[in-house]
Amino acid sequence: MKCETARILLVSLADHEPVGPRAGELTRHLEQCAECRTLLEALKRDREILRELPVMKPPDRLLGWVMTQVRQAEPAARPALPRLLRVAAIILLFLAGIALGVVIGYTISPKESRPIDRIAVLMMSEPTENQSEVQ
Amino acid sequence: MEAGVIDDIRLVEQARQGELPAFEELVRRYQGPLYGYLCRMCRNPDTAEELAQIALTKAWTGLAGFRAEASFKTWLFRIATNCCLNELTRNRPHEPLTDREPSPERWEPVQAFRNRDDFERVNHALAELSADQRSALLLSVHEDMSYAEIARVLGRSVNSVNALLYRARLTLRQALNR
Repeated sequence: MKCETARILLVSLADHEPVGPRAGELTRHLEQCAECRTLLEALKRDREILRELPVMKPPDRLLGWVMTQVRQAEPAARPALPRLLRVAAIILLFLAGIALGVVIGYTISPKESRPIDRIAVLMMSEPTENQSEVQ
Repeated sequence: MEAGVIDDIRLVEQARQGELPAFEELVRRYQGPLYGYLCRMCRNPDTAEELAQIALTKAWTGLAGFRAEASFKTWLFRIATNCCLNELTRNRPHEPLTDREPSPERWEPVQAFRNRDDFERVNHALAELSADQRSALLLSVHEDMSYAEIARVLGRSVNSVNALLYRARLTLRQALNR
């Protein structure tokens, strides 16, 4: 393995990132190359130095400010129904509307004009002359 | 999956149902790391505060679109990083963090930094990095994110993050050696 390739992998190694299938090759390279070993140590040390940077504490007002804004924007976070469910709901509402219309129409229309009632009336009525002849 | 992540998922689900206390808990949990990250990114505590506020509010309004493919933290940091990179490209003048004496109550040193000179040297070294290099480095070192998670935050491939961090670490090395 060339130093150039090893150095890219050394950064991953210093960041505790899996090096992958070339791990064995890298270990062998490190055993032979003092320069890369020094670089690895330096990279690990840099990481430690960065981790020692003081942690900045957020101002106490931040939480309050965020929650005030969140309350103002409250409805936006409500879960939107999945698209498919929304389409299904619209179709169902449409069908329910048609069914309701049919029921209302049936209820308010005159009895004689209702198709089912007309058939019932026809069936219950006396046979006409023509019908008797057929029989 | 880690217990904290599972807990986050539960809180996110509750927040999506409109439960404000659940979202408040998420804010409590992540406001610290988010603010610290933004401070280091834009090097100005006031801008960091403003960006943290924007990012957290955006997270709330966009919660319906959050898919559990990534952790809530990764998703939140992606929002914040986008806000921050936009801010930085707008080239708003910022005052360097090192030039401003931080009020003691706002600094919470995990342990005393070696000395003031070291602290300034590291801050100047960080300032030499490009915004996306700095972002990748901070997410890796301070937030312990894997390269895959950093790739999600930055919207890049893992290989690209690898290359970004390689350049960042070498630039930092050179700057610290000066």
